[in-house]
Amino acid sequence: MRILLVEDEQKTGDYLKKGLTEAGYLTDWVQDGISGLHYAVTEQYDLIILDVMLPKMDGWGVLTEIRKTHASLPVLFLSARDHIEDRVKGLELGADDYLIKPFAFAELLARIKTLLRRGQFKEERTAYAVADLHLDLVKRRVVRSGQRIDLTAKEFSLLELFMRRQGEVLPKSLIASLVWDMNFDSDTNVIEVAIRRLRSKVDEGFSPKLIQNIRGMGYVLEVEDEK
Amino acid sequence: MRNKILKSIGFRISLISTVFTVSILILMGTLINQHVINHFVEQNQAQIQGKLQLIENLLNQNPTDFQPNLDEALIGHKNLIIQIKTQDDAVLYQTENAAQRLKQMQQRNHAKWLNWNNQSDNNQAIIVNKNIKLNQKQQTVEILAAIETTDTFEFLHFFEQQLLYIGVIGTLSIMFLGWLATWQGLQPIRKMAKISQNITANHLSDRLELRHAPIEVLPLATAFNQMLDRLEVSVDKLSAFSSDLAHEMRTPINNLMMQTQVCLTKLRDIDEYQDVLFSNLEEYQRMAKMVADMLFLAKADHGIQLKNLTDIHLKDEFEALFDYFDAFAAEKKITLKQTGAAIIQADPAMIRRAFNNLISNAIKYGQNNSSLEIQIQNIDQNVILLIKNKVPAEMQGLNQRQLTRFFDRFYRLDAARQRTVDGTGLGLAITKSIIEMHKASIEVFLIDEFIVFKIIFKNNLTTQPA
Repeated sequence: MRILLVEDEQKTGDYLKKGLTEAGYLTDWVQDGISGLHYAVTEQYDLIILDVMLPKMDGWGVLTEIRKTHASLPVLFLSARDHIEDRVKGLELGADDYLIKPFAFAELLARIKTLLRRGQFKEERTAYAVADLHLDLVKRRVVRSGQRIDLTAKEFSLLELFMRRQGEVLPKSLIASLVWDMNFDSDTNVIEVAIRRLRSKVDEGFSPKLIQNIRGMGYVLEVEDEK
Repeated sequence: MRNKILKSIGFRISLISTVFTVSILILMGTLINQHVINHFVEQNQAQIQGKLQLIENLLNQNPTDFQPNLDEALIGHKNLIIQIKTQDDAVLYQTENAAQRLKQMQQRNHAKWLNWNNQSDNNQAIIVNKNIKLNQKQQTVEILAAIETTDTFEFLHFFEQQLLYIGVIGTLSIMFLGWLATWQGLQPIRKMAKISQNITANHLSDRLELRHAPIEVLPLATAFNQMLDRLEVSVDKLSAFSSDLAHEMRTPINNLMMQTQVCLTKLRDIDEYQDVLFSNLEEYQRMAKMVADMLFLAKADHGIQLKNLTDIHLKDEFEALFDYFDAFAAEKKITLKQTGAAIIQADPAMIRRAFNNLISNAIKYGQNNSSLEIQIQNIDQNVILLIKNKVPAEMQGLNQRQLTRFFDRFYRLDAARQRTVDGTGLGLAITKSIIEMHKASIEVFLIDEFIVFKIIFKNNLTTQPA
């Protein structure tokens, strides 16, 4: 997967490139709008991450130009400007997502994954399995080691999210947004508590532990690497 | 320059009053002058008439020897000129120098009053001639009677001059008084300008003295003072906010610095480095959230235009929120309940955020093993929302003033215990601003051991569920 990163801020660009590369993406980084546009139209990319405020040509301009030739190339905007109008403008111009600085890196990765996954395989899965944990969407049933686990409706949705995106670190804000439709940073550790409850049902008394807390980043469901 | 003068209120007022005064004075002066002249003319005419009557009588009594009587009758009337002639121009009687004085008289219009103006010696006279028949002799004589009006006209001239002087002085005084009155009247406005010049963010305490303000300026002065009041409150709030903000930022920055510095004093295990980084990350997240919340409040202060108003079923909304807080409340063994139903018009994301903050606080600060109750009431056109929860003993002693401070930015119940409970201290401030964006109001009360938040959506026009 190749990603083009257009970001003029030296430090941000540096770390984003590093993070994205480590996450397994081939990343090209340019620092102004004109070069960004040049790379975007001459090279092949799977996704473009575009800052709004750029020298020579701003993100809006770059996006407008890109859309003339690449109608479906996913573009994710990064901006320090948190105005609804900006967001609306970005989406109207054809941006696929809009992230406001400062953002959690895990959140960026999660959104990149969503954008890249979009339109690739549309098959609807009805069941997921990780290790000995099985989740059946049709019967709405969760079984671990052959043992039925009773979950509330929301716990089920939460587990479904984790299973669907296993191996992906999900920030708390993203979980709140996807499971409960709370699209803002909630003050409390509500998510922590909810996940703790889910873990006590899904992981307690079983091995290996599947749901892990990545401190400061979020939660992930995966089979932990052997130590 | 010319424009500047024309724009001056003082100039305009004195100009207008001057024009009026001059017109009135001219009109009045002319009228008075005319009346005085008429009066004198009538007086003179009456005098001449009287003398003519007298002469006629004297002539009739004694046609031959009337001279002594006539002389006697005319003593003290130096301004009278009398000439009596026969029809063949023989002078029967005349006062001193009469012929000479009457020489200028060319026309002798019969029985008519004439103004006789002798320009050489500036003599003025009223003259009349009359034919009378003497009874016995059947003889007709012509009596010419004139009165010298020089004195009168001199007086009139003097009078006219006086009127003119009065007029000019009056006009000048009115001009000056108009200007003075305007200047005086506009004093409060100059004061306002002066106070305004002194106003800066740290000097907002000056006010206009309203006691002596003229009623015309009073509304302006009052509005000006009220504006200053509002500005002062806002600036005070803002500066308190800024210093709070600086303070709030200082703590996490201090943590970051200390942690990092201590960590760097010697070589450590990877785990320890990781720990520091994680801990730093938490501080960064806290700061990022604070900045986001503050930006939201700053935007709310500017007045956010709610565009996305939709019908919100409060019952469903709280159902969803309860779902979200389910596990969190269960940890504290707090039961979530709601009664009633209503529909309001609101921005879904915004209103959810407001309610979310309220419920989260209610659970966070609520008494363990209690219940959180939400009552939705439909009264007339208003939707009233009560969020009620039991609080621990230490919160039951709060007075109303302390309760109202809940909505202040960065307010925390216990100043010393600042950051033990997570959050930025901006939650309720955000809730309040969202509620107010929806033209609703929010209040907080303490009833016995319960804290109650009351939100009123006034004039709610959506059709309510039965």
